[in-house]
Amino acid sequence: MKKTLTILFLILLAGLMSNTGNAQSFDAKLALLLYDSFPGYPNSTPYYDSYAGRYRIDLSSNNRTIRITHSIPNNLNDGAGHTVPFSIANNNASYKIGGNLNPLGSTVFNANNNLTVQLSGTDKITVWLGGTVSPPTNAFPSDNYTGTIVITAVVL
Amino acid sequence: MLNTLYPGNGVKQLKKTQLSIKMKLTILNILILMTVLIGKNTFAQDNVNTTTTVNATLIRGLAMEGGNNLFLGEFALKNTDSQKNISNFDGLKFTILGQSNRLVTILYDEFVTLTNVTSNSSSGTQESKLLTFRTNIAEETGPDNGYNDPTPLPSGTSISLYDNSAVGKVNLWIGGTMYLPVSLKNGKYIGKFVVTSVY
Repeated sequence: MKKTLTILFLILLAGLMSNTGNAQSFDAKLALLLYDSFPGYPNSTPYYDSYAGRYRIDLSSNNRTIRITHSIPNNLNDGAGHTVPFSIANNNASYKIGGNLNPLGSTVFNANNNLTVQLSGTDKITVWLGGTVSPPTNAFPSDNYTGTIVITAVVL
Repeated sequence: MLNTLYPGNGVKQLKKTQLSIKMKLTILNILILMTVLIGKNTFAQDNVNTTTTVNATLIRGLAMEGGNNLFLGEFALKNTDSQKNISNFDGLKFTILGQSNRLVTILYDEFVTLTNVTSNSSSGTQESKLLTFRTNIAEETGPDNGYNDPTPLPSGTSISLYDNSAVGKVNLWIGGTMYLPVSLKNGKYIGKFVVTSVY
């Protein structure tokens, strides 16, 4: 009976310790700075450009599977009642498993859909985001159009 | 019977049974705890959010207003080479409109060739039918549209567009010098002067 208790305690301890692997954090973040554009002329900033958005997720254990969701605004606004349409094309985002911050060789994905990736042999993933602003011809010129992309990461 | 005969043995047996029950309860509790922990590990998900900002600048397209034709005036040809200055004030004014506070580079032809377009141009040498106009531009920004304190603006110079009610602007005045060689034939001379503005 005492042996059984000891074994159970050890299993319990292992279970508790393995639970700490789920912690995650974001770092290396860069805002997406879209190229200047003119009314009537859509303009895209590619994911591999230095102006692209970027973030890295750091888990505390390797080989986890992570699901990332992006909530992308349809419009950017200038805080004065003016808006311009915004989108991310289905080939204008990429990720790289590991902590490398160079987008060269990264894998293109559609940021409008969920991204589920297993981080084999690592605890990090880096994501780059491009975007397109599509101002109509009557769009109001402004330096201050902004929007927010909400990123949700779930360790499965 | 045993309890009656050996009361000490009965108490020991009772304690043993109680201990066994306690241990079983402990094991049960641990099993329940493990089930909860395993369940948590299997089904619960760590869910973390962050945000990133998207910034965009929408620039007002550049436009030019005014300044279609610059009439340089009528001049009498002389017996020697001569030249005629056209001040910026007497020249042609036009306005560049665009995004406030943005730098705009102004490019223009520093030499414009005017060609004799009158009927007598069929005769004579090529040189006698061409007139050279050396251009210069003066600029003035600010809320005033007048010609108060203009600054020379060489071609290729960048200048910030003054914010005038959310529209950037700069006023330009074209002047220059006409070179009139003695061989020049009389007549009407026309040329094209191109000004380009780029962000």
